[in-house]
Amino acid sequence: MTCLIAPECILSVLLIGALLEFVMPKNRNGIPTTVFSILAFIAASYGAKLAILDGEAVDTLTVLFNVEGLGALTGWLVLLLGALAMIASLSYMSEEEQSLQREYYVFSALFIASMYGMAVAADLLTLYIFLEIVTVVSTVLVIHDRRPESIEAGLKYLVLCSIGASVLLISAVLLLSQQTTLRFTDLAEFFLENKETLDMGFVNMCFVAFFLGLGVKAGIVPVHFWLPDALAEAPAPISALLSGAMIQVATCAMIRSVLAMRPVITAEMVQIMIVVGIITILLGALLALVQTDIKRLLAYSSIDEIGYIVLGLGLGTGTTVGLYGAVFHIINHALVKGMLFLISAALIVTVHERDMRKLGGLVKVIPGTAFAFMVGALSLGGVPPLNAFYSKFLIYKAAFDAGYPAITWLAVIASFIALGYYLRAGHMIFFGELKVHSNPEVKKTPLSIAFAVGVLCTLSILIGIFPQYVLQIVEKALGGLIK
Amino acid sequence: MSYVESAISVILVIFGILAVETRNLRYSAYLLGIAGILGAALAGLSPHAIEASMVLLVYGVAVPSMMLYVLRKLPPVEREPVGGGTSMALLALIALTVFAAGGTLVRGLTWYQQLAVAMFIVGLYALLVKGNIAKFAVGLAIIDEGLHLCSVFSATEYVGGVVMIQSALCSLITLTVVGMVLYLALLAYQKTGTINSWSLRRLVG
Repeated sequence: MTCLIAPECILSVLLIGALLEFVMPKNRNGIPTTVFSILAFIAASYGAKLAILDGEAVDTLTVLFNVEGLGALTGWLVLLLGALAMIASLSYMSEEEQSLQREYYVFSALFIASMYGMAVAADLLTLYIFLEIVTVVSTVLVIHDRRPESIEAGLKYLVLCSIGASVLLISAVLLLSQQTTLRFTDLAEFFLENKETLDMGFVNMCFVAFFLGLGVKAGIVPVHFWLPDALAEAPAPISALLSGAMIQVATCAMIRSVLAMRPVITAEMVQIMIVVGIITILLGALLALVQTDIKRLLAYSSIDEIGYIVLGLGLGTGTTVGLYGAVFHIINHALVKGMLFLISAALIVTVHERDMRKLGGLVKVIPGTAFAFMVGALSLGGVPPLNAFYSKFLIYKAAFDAGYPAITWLAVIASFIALGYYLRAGHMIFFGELKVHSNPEVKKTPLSIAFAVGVLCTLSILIGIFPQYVLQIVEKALGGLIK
Repeated sequence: MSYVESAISVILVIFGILAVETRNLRYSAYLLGIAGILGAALAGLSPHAIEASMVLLVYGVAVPSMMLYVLRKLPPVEREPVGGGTSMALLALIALTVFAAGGTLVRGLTWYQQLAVAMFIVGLYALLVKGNIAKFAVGLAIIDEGLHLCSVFSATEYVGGVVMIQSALCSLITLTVVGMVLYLALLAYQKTGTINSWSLRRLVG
């Protein structure tokens, strides 16, 4: 039984799903990937329960993977969103050409598998390998429709993320020269044992390599350029995965790496993380405010939310409250942003439009989707008692307790800006006069997208009602890393 | 650091610079191939000499061949070259000075780490300044070759086994990334008639 929940088996299940796409009849594209994604999610759920709730070790078949608390949690999130995005894709992709559909599903399965590999990677080189696979595979998905705009977005994404991955590789090479293994568990011990003797230049370079290398993938300012373009040009279910899963996995990898360096982290490094975090929050929020394309708005909002996580991480090196807030916000952002991008998929399918200025009054046509959008909008706007309020509150508290009142107020203001742009978007899309009234093609949200949105919306509401249970999970997931 | 390693490192960086600066993309691929062969020779002097074959295969043969294959369908010469020869000459001078000083100028860095830094700068220059998508592939290959060589010399017997297999995998990943960039160059040329990345800017705001 334990063999079935090993990361290698979960990866194999996803790869089998991808291979089966080649032998399926033409009108059955997507079914193997969807079914096998669900199977992988079920297996990973059991593995995450063992690793986090029961505190037991999950057996792996190779030394490349390690299903520990935080990795198991993010891996579970990746597979949850992966399964839901594939379910939503069944409707979203149904009007595409058969060959394009097959390409989409095969690369989607590879994308989900490589993100899961990133989440449970046991060492830096495995992380680098899966990081690069994620980049290449998701580039194919970003350029899915081969328009000049999507090619530009794909190129920007590929080049920037490859540079980021190379920067991460520098840390691996530097650590190799110190005769240590690259396993995350050994790295923490290495930094602890040698904290008195390590050269500060070496420590600084390792920090920059971890923070910048993974920061590119996470979309922190000033290396965020790829994010709005890639998220806006990719098919909407893939945008949900890029924003809801991929950047969260990169941020989790950043947390694991930076926490391994905790014994040698200096006050300057903490300040760098806090400053980058708050600039990312403010820039993301301000740029989202002026967007008229719903997908670009959600993309800039992702930058905004990643800023909160980086801020929490910066504060979390000194106080656990910030760290709990950061990881809790990763879960909340993954669920809510995944849901909002799937709602944008619903808009594209129902009214074939992304420009909010051309939309209006859709609450009369798709009331359930409108409700889910407002739940997501209020949640990321930091309104209690929805889920993201609690994680943002923990980060504010950590900032205030650590003696950064100005940063706290700026973060609170940015949250109000987020509430503003989300309410504006909600008003433009769903309320007012029905602008697509004369369009005979307006239809209801397809069942598969409605199901995926419904699951994520329910989870968001439940976390808002019972945040203490999720906080306990976060505490257990971080237990090993904080020690 | 022996004179042989020093000399090969310096020549390797020079060939990297030439591959980035050459306007004719076909010559650029040849120069990249020579840099790959030099890298393999350098890797042959490391404690993990078997890695030389991987370096040769990936950076000396596969990457240039892939470039030459794709270049059959692309314009062979950069249409709008971006200036930068002077800055590159300066950069080369800095790199040469670092190597000639035997690793004493940059405190704490070994010669192979300096080689990786020099190649990283050269590759980054190609990516940031050269507005040509095919040159992006050259830049990425140069960065990864430097890091690969550095990892070959860094890994000790203690961490050798798994790391070397992963290092080989990293080379294959490089090959995939470079291949993807070249594919995008091809797509961009088919859709817009140019591989100049500056004229591909449609997404703003």
